[in-house]
Amino acid sequence: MTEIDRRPVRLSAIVSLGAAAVAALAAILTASVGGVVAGLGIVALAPGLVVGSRRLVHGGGVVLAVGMVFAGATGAGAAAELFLLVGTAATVVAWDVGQNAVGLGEQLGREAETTRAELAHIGATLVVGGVTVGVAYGLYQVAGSGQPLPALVMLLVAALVLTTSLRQT
Amino acid sequence: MSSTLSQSATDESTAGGAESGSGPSTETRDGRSEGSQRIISETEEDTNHWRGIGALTFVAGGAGVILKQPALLLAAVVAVAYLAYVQVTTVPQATVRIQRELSDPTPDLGDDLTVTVRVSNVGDRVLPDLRVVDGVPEELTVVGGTARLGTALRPGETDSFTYTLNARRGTHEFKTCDTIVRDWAGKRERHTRFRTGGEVVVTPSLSSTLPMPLRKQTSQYAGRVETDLAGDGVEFHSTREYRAGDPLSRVDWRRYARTGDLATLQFREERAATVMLLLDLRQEAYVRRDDDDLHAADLGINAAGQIFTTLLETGDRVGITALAPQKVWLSPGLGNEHRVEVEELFAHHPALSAERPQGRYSVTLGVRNLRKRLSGDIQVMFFSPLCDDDAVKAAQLLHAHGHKVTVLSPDPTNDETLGQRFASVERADRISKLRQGGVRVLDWDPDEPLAESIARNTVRWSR
Amino acid sequence: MKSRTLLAVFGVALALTGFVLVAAPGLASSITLDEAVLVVVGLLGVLQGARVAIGRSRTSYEQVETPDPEASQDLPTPGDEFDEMLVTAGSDRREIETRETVRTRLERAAIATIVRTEGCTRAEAERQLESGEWTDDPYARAFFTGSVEGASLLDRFDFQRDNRTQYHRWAVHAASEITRQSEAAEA
Repeated sequence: MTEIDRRPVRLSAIVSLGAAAVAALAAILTASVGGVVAGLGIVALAPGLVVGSRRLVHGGGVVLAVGMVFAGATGAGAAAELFLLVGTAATVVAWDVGQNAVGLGEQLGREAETTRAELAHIGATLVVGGVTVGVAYGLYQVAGSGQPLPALVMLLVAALVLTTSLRQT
Repeated sequence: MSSTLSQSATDESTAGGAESGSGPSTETRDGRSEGSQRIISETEEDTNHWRGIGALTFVAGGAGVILKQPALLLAAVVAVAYLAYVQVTTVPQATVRIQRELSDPTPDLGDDLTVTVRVSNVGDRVLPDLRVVDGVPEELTVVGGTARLGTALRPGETDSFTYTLNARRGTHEFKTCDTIVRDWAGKRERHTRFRTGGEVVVTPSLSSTLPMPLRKQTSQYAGRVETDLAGDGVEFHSTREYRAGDPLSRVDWRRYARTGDLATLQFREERAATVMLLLDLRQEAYVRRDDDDLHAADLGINAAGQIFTTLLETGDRVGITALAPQKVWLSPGLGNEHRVEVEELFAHHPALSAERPQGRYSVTLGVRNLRKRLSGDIQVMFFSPLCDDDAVKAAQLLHAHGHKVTVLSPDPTNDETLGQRFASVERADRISKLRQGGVRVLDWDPDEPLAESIARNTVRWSR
Repeated sequence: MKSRTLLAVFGVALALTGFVLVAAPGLASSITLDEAVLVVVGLLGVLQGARVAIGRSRTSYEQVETPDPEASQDLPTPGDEFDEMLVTAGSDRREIETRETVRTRLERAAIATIVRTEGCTRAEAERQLESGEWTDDPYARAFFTGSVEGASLLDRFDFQRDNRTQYHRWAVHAASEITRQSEAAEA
């Protein structure tokens, strides 16, 4: 027995890359500019998942998210709302599962049996993402696009104020 | 509220003394008690994993408001949902029971030993992310599998992992078993270290023998050490005038036929030796060529085991002691009972476990105490890598006190760096110094079988 | 402390109003928002987002480091400590004690090795060491005599390439030379 192989665990790495691919696809479908940026995110994410670099995985996730925002800002396709919802959720999944792959690799190594822990984590993140996408899109469809802008602005400001006050603790 | 707090406190204690939770029947079913499982330490910390997820909300939301893009506002909602999810999950207690099972409770030296570790969730909460790193005994290396597991356990559920060890001599205690429990989201983690007890005992088979030549000496016991005294034996020594009482079988009849004088043949007397095996178990002896090799103390112990058996079989009286922070002493003796005692010492004595000792040891004091207990005619066979000057001093002091000293020195030096090569030179200088002082040194390269090394040196010594 | 509480109360109030407006869109239509307000609020959001993101990039991921129980205990190989000593003694001239130890060990080993390989007396070995006769290596010689002789001028101007001291260079040469002689005699 020589050194433990502490690179990211395989299953989670693959899921992370898969989610990133879904995100990039969603970005392309919304607006091609976003797709290009999201593609750059995968370029950072993939090597990060191979060698186990948190920086690269985190950076890849951030670039993916920026790609989503770009896509949302420029694109206005037929189902842009749905694509962007799915894409954003997939971005979070790619980032979260990728980080977890690195963490598991560091603590337990690639040779250890980690499937159950990975599946539980991936499952939970996917469920949260799936439910959010479903509920948000459903409500959006029911309420129509007639959601009052002032209400949303108010909520955003509330979030800003609350996080600022909480950050000082 | 206070009642829930105390409840969680008891939960923790049952997690520690887990067998009380689900009854002792599991212990007996496994056939081996794991001793008491106790929590040694527990820490909890934020992983910072989800830090910054709010940024997505703000950027997407802000951009959405400016551009009046409903899609971006929806994207912001996704991040809000994850933020909420992270807030609600909490990290559970490490309510686990850990049981180890060995494929062979009494493994022989060199056997492959499979360890199965069962991890059960004895609490009533799901453990969504449980990571276990088993405390493999220090000096046993894992040759197959890894001693780690990542799993998720519902209440009452059990998962297991196995790994293979190579059995080395000694009593090897399992170290603390580390568990890391995380919440569903991986926001916080709780690191708990369990003492689980349990050990692997590998008894060396004291059966292989080595023809280790002893040094000439006198002692009152008949044996195989040649002396320069005339007496009983097989090798002709001299003749002397017949005295009444000499056995007839020893009368030189040929001479009587030739000259008519009665003379008695005398043979070189062979006598038993009394040998003290002295192990070097100081910190300085815990060195090795590289990580896959046995360390020098272990090599010495193994060699001593083989030589002990040989000497016992040839009727010599052998005892064992050590230069070690802990006391090791077995007076020279004979017979099966003695043999059992020595086997016991080799398998169980803490100083002979493969782990490096903690305390420092003064050679001057140690040898002084040793000399008080050794009578003058006892030979000393010293097992030391000779990697420091104190080892030389020990041999010289014993030699100066009149003991015949043989040093059997396993060579742990390597030649990868300048320092290592230099250490090898220093060791050669020490050996040369000892030999000049009249101490016999057997320089043993562990890559070669000990028997061959002994055979070669015996030729040299007999010249 | 107090301002934080006020800020939090304000935030909750805003959030509640927002939710009320979401639930009853009719009320919202009475409020008209200037385009400029939207931009300012949006920019504030983006800025705060950037701040949080940068903050996250600066916080490192924390997790327990697990030990390596699979490997055997970490034990040294004889001489590892000497390698370290050479580096320590060579890098800093204030390491007087380490230098002293290195010197003693090298000197003892040199004398013992000369005695062993040449078969001469200790006194003779000491004399050879002092005079420098024991080796052709000018730097190894210099370690015991204190000056470089016989090296070409070019050799002497080494310009301390790797930022190591002269002491280090001499000590390494001395150790190498002792080792080489001993190994040559054994072979």
